Amino acid sequence: MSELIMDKVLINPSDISCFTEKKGSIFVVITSPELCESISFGRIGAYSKTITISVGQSESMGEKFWEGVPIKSHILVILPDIYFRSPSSEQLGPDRQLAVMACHSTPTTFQAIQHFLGQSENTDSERQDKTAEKFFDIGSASSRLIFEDSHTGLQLTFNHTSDDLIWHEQIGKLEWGQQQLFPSGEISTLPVDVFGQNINDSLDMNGQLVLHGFPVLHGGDVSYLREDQARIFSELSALREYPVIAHVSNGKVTRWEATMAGADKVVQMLEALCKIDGRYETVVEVGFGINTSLKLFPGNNAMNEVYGADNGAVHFGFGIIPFTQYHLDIICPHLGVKDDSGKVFFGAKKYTS
Amino acid sequence: MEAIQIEPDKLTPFGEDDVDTFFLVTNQSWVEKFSLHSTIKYKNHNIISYNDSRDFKSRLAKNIIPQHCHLLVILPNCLFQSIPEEIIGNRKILFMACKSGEIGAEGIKHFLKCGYATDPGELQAISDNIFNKGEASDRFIIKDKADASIEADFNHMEDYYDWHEQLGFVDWGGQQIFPAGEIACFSVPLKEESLSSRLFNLSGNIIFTGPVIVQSGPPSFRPRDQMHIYEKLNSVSSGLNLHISKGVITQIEPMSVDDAEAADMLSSLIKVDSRYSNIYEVGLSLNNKIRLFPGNTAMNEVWGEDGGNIHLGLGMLPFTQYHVDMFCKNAYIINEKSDLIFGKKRMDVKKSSICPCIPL
Repeated sequence: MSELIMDKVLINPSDISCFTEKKGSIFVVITSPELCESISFGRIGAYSKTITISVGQSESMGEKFWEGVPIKSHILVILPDIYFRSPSSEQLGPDRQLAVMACHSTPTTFQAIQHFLGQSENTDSERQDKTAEKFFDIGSASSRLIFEDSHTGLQLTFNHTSDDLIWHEQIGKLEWGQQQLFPSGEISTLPVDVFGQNINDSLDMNGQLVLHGFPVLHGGDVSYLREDQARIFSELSALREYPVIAHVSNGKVTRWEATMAGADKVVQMLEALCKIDGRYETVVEVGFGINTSLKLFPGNNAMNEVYGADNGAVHFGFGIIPFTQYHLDIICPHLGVKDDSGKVFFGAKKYTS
Repeated sequence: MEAIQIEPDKLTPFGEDDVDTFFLVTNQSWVEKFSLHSTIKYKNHNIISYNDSRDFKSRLAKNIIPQHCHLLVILPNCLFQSIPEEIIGNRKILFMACKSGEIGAEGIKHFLKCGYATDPGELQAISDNIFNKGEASDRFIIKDKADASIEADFNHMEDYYDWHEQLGFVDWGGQQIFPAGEIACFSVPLKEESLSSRLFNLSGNIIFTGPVIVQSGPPSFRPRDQMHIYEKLNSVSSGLNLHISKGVITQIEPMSVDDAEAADMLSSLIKVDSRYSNIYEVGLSLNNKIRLFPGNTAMNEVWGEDGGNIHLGLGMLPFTQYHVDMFCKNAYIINEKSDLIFGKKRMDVKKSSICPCIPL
């Protein structure tokens, strides 16, 4: 568990469960010059030593950079001020493990870093592997997934078996040469061809999607103002209390419907986003947060995305970086996911008709 | 379709140089659409084709395109980006802005015709006159022909403004839009981090009447979104009364119910990216030979018919997704002594039931 000691961030490398084969390995933290002095190490367990590398600019992380990072190392990246571009497999090499705190696409405070470091040390990577295995077993046996709102019973049907989908895992234990988000805990799927600026492909998804929960508004490569990001996030945050129904046809939102007066401003903001960039109408991602030990940190925090509530939490993504200004995730802990049997196997279970 | 006639001898902004060579630079897929007219001025003329404007730049730098020539660049398929003077070297470039707002062959023909009719010397004289009067004025007042109560105060002499001329004759090593005819004032520096500071010392009310140009740039966008935004903004009918405070639009007031969609679209732009509320450009369009071409057409920007037109520029490429030029065709500029600086005043007409010279 990380502890706040004055202005220090205490990292206990031995408690971070996603890294494997710690004995004799080097624990490396790559961070900003500002944070560098605040990092201190507690329990290092079987690690041979710890190193902190300071990086002030994205440009200084070119190809040569990775040659300077020791091999047989477990690397934790904490770079709130600069855009971190994931290294290629060749750059990372076969003898390093990399975990990255997603702390640039949303403004991340010192306190948020401390919080998520603590959450990551609570994260049980083995349990995540088991959860994912079960998730894929049930998913593979079902012809479709139904997302049902536990309050209203409104449903969205998703053909998750389509060959046009790519599934991603950000979970469990790392092996040498691998990298993932930190804290981990997300399974997600996107259409294969989504990474084009026209978003030609969409998900085979129809029905009424009740958006009720926690937004995360990521900024990307396209210029934007942090003030605008904060303002848009603030407007969308009413979703915590006031649900909005997205009427979805073939993976595209045809109408945003406010369920009560408080949701009006959310709908207005979503409509404005879609008017200016119609790509926000497409559901580009279905995410399944499985980090059930993670506690949400208030505000707009990318690291909230893996939030798994008690039994997993679904989130939906709109807008695709680097093409749109923002990528909007809406975490919906009130949704339950049903398989062909009609049983909720993921997410909220409370709805009874 | 009839070929687009390029008449090199009518490209008057090149001046009366003793130059032998003229090139038309265009995209590969457009080569067949052009026909080079016979010329008295140039001994050699030819078409160079490229698919990427970076190729063009590189060929200039490597002197694959010879020095001492005149170039007309029409690249409908790729964005033309300004070329440093040292790379242009001993050449002159005219370019048609035909990518950032979509235009077809008919549009290119239309603006070539307007450009051939344009007199660079006349535009230079008009521009010189504006600057002379401007320097002799303490302040500009932007008035409205249709409504005497509408006005905005524009302190045009702030040190941090940059005034640009796109008109007259091109110098060696220079590049200019064709057809030309604009004086544009920007608040500088236009850097990403300062896009919300150092704004115009401009406050009051200006009526946006249309037309509008929604120009795209390097940031990713969908052409259909660009067209949708254009159509909604261009649907403006009676006008949008823009309330402006220190260079920032603080309120958008539709003048009639028919202006609601345009107002809604402008509000949405600002809602998504607040930088659209900043006025980054005050443009004086003074090419009186330009006739508006329908649609979202970048080359309409120099439209100065009927005494000159003012447009306001919102959004700044390459930072915002679009740059929006909003014509305020009833606007004109006077100074503190009510001398006309730019545009055309309306005669002050009062309805009278009797002749005022006959006292009752």
